[in-house]
Amino acid sequence: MTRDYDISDLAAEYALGTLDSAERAEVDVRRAIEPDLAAAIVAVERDLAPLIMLVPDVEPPANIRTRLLGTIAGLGSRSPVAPKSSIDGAEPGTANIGAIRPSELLSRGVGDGDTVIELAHAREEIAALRGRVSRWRVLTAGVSTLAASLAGLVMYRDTLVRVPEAASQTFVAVLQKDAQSPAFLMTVDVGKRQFTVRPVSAKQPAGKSYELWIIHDTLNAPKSLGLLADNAPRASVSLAAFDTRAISGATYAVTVEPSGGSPTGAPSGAPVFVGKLLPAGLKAD
Amino acid sequence: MKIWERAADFDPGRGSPTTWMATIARNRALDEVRRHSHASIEDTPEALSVASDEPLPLQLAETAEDVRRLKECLEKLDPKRRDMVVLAYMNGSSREELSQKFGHPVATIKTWLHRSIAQLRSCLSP
Repeated sequence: MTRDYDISDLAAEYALGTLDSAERAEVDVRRAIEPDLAAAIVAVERDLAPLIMLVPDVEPPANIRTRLLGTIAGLGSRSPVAPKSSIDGAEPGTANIGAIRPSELLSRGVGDGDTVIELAHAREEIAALRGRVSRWRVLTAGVSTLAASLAGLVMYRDTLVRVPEAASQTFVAVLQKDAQSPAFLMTVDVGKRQFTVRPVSAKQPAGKSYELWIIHDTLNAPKSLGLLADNAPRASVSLAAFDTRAISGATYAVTVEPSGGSPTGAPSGAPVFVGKLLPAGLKAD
Repeated sequence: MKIWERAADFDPGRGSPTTWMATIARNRALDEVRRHSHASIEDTPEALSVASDEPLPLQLAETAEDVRRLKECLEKLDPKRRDMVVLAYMNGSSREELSQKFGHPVATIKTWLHRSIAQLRSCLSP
């Protein structure tokens, strides 16, 4: 479990990208409530960030900018709930280990002479490796699009008046320590802004309570969604206080609190179970 | 959307806007890749349509020194450990994939990654 890691090691693996899905979700939760962890992650990300400049640029799909602006302005046809990205639509396949050889990468880059020219030359050579570079293509496509669109987005910000309401759509989140230990199954009707939580294998510590939290960038801090029991479901609980973007994009976390719930209104410690919403037809991992 | 939502968090003193945006986008991409751990994007049609514009010279100049320093520190790592770091960061390789590629247990990979990043950061510190 990631909470057993030293913070610096956890930050290192988060920034490198080697944590699995459950671990990343847990770190996303913890960094919201643990300033030391958040700072450690930012520091490692900043140190490694120059590597990003060695990734070949990619022309993004033509429709991304339109969809993005449409979403921002609340005028697009795309649902704001868990948009199906190109990654989502990928076919299962074998992981492409070694798609780019580190030695090739590092033999390029900047030298002692004309660094601009050498780096530009390196980028040309690295671009020749595009046929073998896989995952970063979509990433850099997104970066290029977003960077190119930022000025346009600023103009649209003033017109951002609403997020379109989603039709009734069911999503699920498996709140778990890891893929082998699902504790609660959360079902959310985003359109109706209601959720149900059903215990799967959670065993509540004696004299303690499980408390559920919603965590999202648009919220200033984790917000309590109430207590959970390990032997009975909670049905049709309202999420009316949150917008659909927060509901669909949030991390949901369970903490162990004193009996009756957190006395402060904030999580008392690191979450024991976390999860994010997926369309009901998809499997988490 | 993440970049849009976090625009107020950007601190010019902590780096260029390009790397800031790229880091956010990379984290989002990793979330997707790890969530669909058995999926590959190799067959994503739009991902194969690559065409790039060379970055502006000014942008290159701003990042050249940072890249040089990081490259020098990477070259001080043991070659195998350097390869692990680069494959993880540049290729999105998981611990399990690195374990398969390098023929070491996942626990060993984790230890080497932790030590490598610590060594890198020590090298990069003023």
